[in-house]
Amino acid sequence: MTSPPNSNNRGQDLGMLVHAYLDGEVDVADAAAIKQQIDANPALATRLENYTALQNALRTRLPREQITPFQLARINTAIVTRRSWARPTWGALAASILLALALSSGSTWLVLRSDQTRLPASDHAGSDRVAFPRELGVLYATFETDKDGPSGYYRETYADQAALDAVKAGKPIPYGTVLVRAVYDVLRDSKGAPAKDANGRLTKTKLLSVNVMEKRAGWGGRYSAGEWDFQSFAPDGTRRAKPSASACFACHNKAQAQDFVFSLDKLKAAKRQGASIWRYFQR
Amino acid sequence: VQNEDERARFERLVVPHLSDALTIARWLTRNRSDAEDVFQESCLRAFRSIRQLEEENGRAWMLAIVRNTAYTWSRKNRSASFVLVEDLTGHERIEAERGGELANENNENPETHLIEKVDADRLEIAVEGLPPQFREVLILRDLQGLGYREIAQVIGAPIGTVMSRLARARERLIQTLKAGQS
Repeated sequence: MTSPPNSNNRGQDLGMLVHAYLDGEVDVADAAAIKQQIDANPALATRLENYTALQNALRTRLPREQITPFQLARINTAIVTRRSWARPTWGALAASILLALALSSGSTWLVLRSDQTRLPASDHAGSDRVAFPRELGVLYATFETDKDGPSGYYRETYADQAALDAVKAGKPIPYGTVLVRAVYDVLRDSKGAPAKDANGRLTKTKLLSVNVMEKRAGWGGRYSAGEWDFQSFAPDGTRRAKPSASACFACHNKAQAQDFVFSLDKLKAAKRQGASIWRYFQR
Repeated sequence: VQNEDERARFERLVVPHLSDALTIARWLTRNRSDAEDVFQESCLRAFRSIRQLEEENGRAWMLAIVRNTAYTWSRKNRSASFVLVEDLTGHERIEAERGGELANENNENPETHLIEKVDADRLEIAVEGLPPQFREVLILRDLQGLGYREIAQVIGAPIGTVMSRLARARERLIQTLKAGQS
């Protein structure tokens, strides 16, 4: 704004001007004069100090919400279908669990399908055929160390129930399966090395990436990783560049004997009631 | 095709502000599950009226929708917490307008120390205890960093009202923190 309201009425509005000054809502030309007045008046100076401290406390200590990729995906679905996502999409979870889940807007072991028929064409045009997942599946594995590099990440891997049921019954991973890997940064010490807690475990912090592999009949061909396709997404659901996808193919090809899924054993061993909460931290 | 245009517009102008939208929903409803309901309803409303959105003010526009949705929701749910407060007590008015000449004798300022040290839970409870009109401007300004003009757009009130409510909100909050201390 160009000038604070009532700035020609300063005798009465000094209190307001302290706020406007603090909030940077006064002209540069006015600011110096206002600061002079504040400095000359100990009570006003005290107020400025208090409000500054208060603003700082509010900014640094109050929780701020951060939309998760899954909330974003739900909104996408809702606006495509022009319908609210009903609470039942939270699945067969008991109400008490539902409440707990609402706290972190996460869910598990809901059936996970990338439901491409309801997504706009742009989401699966050309080679972009792996869609951003609408829901998480069952958490079946977490990896707290990263043997691939020194930096250390926290990774969670989710599968849909149909895939779990199939592999448990000794069948191949069915078409339509979507495996989701959420990659988080971890709490680090002042040198940037992963900081372990008293139990020697890493603490996940910010979501870095949502990596998806999806199996469909007739997929594959360009690369030799069976009928799987791969896509890495940023936390906001935007696609990452393709080169990393070809890296996916190259590496997963090594797991050909187990349907290209490195964690197949963990998938087989997953317990149905492995409910955990999708947590998403801003920092 | 029309639908796709709307989606692209929604993604470009509204989606970048959804975390802000969820944040103000949470502070207006004061709990996360209600905030989610308000938030999703707001997203649908925003999408339905996306054509009315002008290019430059996506954030204020979206936050205004969330605010209206939250107030409608609270009336429907008869939430006592949404009782509107119109005016100040005489004391508050004097405090807000005269900028604390009343506290002139207080040179050392233990208040600042108290505010600096307040823990997150107490601060959160104190903010939640503010009347909604005060709470919303405080959150929009001090947590979300909106300017006065943008806040005025969100709450549909003149900038002078934004300023006076913000002044009252901060002053009340400090009084609450002080009272909780003693």
